[in-house]
Formats: sequence, C-alpha cells, structure tokens
Amino acid sequence: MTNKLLSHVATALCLASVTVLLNPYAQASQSAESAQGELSIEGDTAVFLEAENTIEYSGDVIASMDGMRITGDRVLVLMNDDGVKRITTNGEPAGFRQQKEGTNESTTARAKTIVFLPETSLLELSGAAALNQGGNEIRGDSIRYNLALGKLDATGDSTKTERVRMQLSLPDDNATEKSSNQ
Amino acid sequence: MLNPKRHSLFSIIPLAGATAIVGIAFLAIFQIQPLDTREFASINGFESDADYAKALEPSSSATGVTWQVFSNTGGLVYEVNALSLEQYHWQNLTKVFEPAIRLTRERATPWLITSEQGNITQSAGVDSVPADGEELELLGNVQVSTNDGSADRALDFSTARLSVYPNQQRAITTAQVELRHRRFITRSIGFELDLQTGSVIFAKNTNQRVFTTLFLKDGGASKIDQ
Repeated sequence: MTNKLLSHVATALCLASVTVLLNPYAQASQSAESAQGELSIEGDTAVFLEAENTIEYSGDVIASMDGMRITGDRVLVLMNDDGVKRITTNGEPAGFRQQKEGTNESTTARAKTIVFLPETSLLELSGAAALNQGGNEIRGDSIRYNLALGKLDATGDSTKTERVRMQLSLPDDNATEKSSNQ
Repeated sequence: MLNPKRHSLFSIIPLAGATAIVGIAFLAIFQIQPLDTREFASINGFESDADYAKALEPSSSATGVTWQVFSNTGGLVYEVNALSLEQYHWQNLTKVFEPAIRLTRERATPWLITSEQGNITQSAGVDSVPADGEELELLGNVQVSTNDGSADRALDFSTARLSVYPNQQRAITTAQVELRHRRFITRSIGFELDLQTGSVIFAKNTNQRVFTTLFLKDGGASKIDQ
C-alpha cells in the first residue's frame, strides 16, 4: 500500500482571526538562541541615516542568522538605544525560511512585507501572506508567527471578505499502522 | 620524445623575441629620456632645468602647524592640525603630513578625520560634488569618527583614501571602506558621506556587495574586536 498523504482543506469559521499551534516545542530553543546572535545582511546598495538610526538595503537583499534566512527587494533596519528594534523586508514577495536544527524540516513563509521583531522573536507577515510548515500551509492577509513558541495567528482581510485558508497534510492511517507493526 | 630539429628551431624563436624586446626597450628609453631632461622644462614654461627642478621643491614648509578655515558668515568650518606642511606654489598644492582635521556641523558632534598624509588642492569636482572650494585628499589609514560621548551613536569609518569637500559637506571614497557602529559593522567598496546630516550612501559596486553584521543584542561589536 502506498504511503500517500491525505490533503485536507479547511476554511476558518470567522473573518477575524484563528490561532493555531504548529509544532509548538520544536523550534523554541533554537529560535530563542538565534535572537541573541548576529544577523548578516547583504545587498547591492545601502543607506545609513544617522538622524533616524536606520540602515536600508536594496537589491536582492539576503538576511541570514543561524538557520534563518529572509530575502527581499528592500530591507530596513530600525535601531534604538536598546538594540535592533525592527527589521522590515519588502518584496514581490519577500521570503522567509527557517531550517529546523539537525533535520531536513523547515518552515517557509512569503508575503509582501515581512517584519522581524528580534526582541520578541515575532515574525509579522502582511499582504498575501502564507506560511508552510511540514506540508501544512496557512494563508491570510496577515500572519503573526512567534519563532520562539512556534505559535501563529492568522487574520483575514475584512475589507475584501477574504477568509483565512488552511491546508493540512495528514498522514495515511493505514501507513501509520503498517509502520507501527514493523 | 621531442623531435631534435623542432626543438632547436623553437629555441631560436625566444632568442629572436628577446632581442627584439631589448631593442624596443632601448629605443623607448632613447625617445623618452630627451623629453624628460631637455624638453619638459620648456614645455611647462621654465627657462632651464634648474628652474623646473626648483618649482618641484616646496615653496614653503612648516612643522607643528594648525590653521582654521571660516565660512563667509564667520563660523568655523574646519580646523587642521598637522605634523608638518609643504606648500607647492607652482602646483597650487599643499601637502600635509599626519593631519587631524576637525570638521564642525550644526547641532551635531564634529567629525574628526585623521590620516597619514593629505593633499589640499582646488576642487575639480566629481559627479555629485561641483567644483567649488577646496578638496582635501587624504591618503593612508584614513579614520573618520564622530563621538558625542554616547557609545550608542558613535560612528567610525576606516578606508585607505578619502576626498573631503568642506564647502559641500561631503566625503567620498571609491576604496574599500568599513563603518563601525555599536549595532553593526558594514563593509563595502566606496561610499559617500554627508558630513552635515551623517547619512551614508554605499553605492552599487560590481566587485562587491554591501555586507553588514548586525548585532541584535549588546556586546556584539566588542566580541568581534576580541
């Protein structure tokens, strides 16, 4: 018997929001450590504004840290006296990828704007946002993903009556049973 | 195995080539030398070689010099301290050695720029800077910094050469540059610094992208120094 995945499409019940926990413990320790570290950014050009305490990169920008990678057309880094406050990436679309340490599993996301808040390990996706983890994909106008907890919060666009869509890939029961009998 | 006939034939060709190169080099020296010693002085309006040689010497020199340059409104634009200075009147050039330049700016901490050597000339201008006023061309271990006592806002640039245009409040280089800030270190080739606002443009370069290491928490830059 072939080990095929059953694809299930569910639509959320309301326009407001849906909160889902995807693999809550898997990436907690890795992401918490990442937020303490160094982020490498490269781009074709950059502009530092001393008065605004910002540095903006443009042209095929890549920001990477440990197993995390954000790509986009423009990246704006906003700093304050306490540290790096916000990293905003724009693209068509901007992309996010986080490799789970020691495995081939990864979380990927895309949106027109991706905001990374290092202090809270939050990732805010907005504008045709989508996040995929282990074959499960959630789409909405905006998605907030907590890198430390693996918790996400998706919101539809109330002005366009677009609802949050979630596609889950579930393992075949027979395949699971067969593998457990071996 | 090598064919002995072909081998001997090929051994003659490099010999002929080498002879030709020596001959061309000899002719080149013969042609260049008279221009250098006999004609260059007259081309540049000097009656004799002695006058020309004298013009290449500094017309004045000084050690331990300090001077200040003021704007039309009377405000201090910049101040230079240097180990020594040489003026070349004929070339309209002032050479300074180990200069330390303090450039003032409104409502912000002054810039301090140091280098091994500097050439001060009338600005010929570049793309983004019109030819107006002086150009301070700084060479060798150029350091640019501003520090108001707050480590959070301190900026330090280092590069091998830098052109400073005080009238336009611009500093430009096409050399490798490193910018150090408490929150990041950026490396690139070339930059343009607005000395009034402190904004920096790292332009697109075909040889190297702009690369930054960003420290999300305190202690990153000091960790790298260690």
